[in-house]
Amino acid sequence: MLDAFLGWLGVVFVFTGVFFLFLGALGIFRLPDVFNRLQAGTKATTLGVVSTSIGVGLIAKGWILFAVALAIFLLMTNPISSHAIARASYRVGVKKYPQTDPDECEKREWKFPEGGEEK
Amino acid sequence: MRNDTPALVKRITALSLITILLIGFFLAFKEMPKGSAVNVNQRVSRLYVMKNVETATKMMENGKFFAKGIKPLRTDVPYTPITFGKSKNLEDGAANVVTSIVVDYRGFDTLGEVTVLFLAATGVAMLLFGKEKKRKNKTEPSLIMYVGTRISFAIIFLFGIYIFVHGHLTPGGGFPGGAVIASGILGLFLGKNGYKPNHLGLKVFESLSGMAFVIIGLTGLFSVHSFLANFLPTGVIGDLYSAGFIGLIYIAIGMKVGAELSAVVNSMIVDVEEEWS
Amino acid sequence: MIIYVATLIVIVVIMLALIAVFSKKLLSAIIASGFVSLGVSGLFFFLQAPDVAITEAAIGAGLSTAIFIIALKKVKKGESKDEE
Repeated sequence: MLDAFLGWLGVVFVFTGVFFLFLGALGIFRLPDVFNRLQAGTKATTLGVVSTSIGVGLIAKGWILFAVALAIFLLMTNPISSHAIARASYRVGVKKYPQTDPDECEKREWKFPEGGEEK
Repeated sequence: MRNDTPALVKRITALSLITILLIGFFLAFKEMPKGSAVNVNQRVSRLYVMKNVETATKMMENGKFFAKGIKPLRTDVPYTPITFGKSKNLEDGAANVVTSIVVDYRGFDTLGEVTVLFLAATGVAMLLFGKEKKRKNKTEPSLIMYVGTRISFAIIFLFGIYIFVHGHLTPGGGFPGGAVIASGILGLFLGKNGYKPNHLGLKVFESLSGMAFVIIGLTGLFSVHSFLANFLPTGVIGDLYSAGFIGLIYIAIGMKVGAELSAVVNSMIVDVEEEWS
Repeated sequence: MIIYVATLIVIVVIMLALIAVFSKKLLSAIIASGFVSLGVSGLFFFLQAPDVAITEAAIGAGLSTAIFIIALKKVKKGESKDEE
């Protein structure tokens, strides 16, 4: 009973993940500029891959630990890389979609505090 | 291909190359065993280790134990399947047969390979490493990159160590483990401007690891019979403490390759004052 | 089934390799060659060589791409200027 329930729950997770991955792929084609595409290509795929891996872990028992570890690692690294790409493309001066408004990133620029960093 | 080649010739060349490669790959994959999906436990370990005794026995009865076209060397001795977690005192206790060939049977070649990598890293360091140049307007990485790379470095480092410590059990080994560690160090470089690992320390560490490799080999020479001979008990196949000295050598190789590639990354990424132009 | 997946990967890999050879931008060429390494490591796994696949993915797709990009940044001549 419980096994069958977990299996169907895993199937639901996998289909949710596949749906979000599809949305991410669609967004990369449909959205206008780099930043919007990054939004689709990283946020949607983060949720998609995490959900898919957890679903696979629920379906195939014994792999749940690997799946959770994979999900945690993806949750940690995927936003960082997308942030790095977005920041780099902003600094290089990629053209924005004209309706992007307002530009908050213009005002604030983070710096290491003086002496606040060891060594 | 030269630049003044006409575009039509280029396209025809590319098209014929694609056709030839496709035909070649189709032929290569046609010889693959039939099946719906890659089942690692059965496919890979038919060549490595029989994990499942019943499957192995059935396959031996059906004559499928050996791949198509391969005859057993001796027919008078029955071929008993090696059982994962049970078989003891094998000739070479590694569950991963590639590892036992790379480190044990052809260990001397691996020593040469590591030496080639050492020479390459030394050459890169000699050409590129020097006095650091101060660059004025370089973009500072953001706080998210700084914290995130530092956290993920721990996990990546642990994964690299896992790869080369488990080299005799799972696919992997010293070289990919070292490359993974160097990738983590590269992440640290991306996280903060002016991150400086101890270059001399890396070199010393790498030399010590290489010396450990040679010392293990010499121990085999003096205690058993030949250079890089296994002098430790092989244990039960599939255990972490098994396969004799393969684990030790892979730890040495992993640390050496990791330190070497980190030194290469360090030499590449640090801006130096140009001494010649 | 798996032969179709492998054939798809082979076609993608060949296209990426052509991009890497004929591309005018060196950065695109480097990224394409990194993806070639990734696809080739998948093919190695299909051909039952997981050791080679792991090594290819770690060194070919990960580290050497990064080192190429660093070298490109040091050379500071991003694109080949000659026509055709």
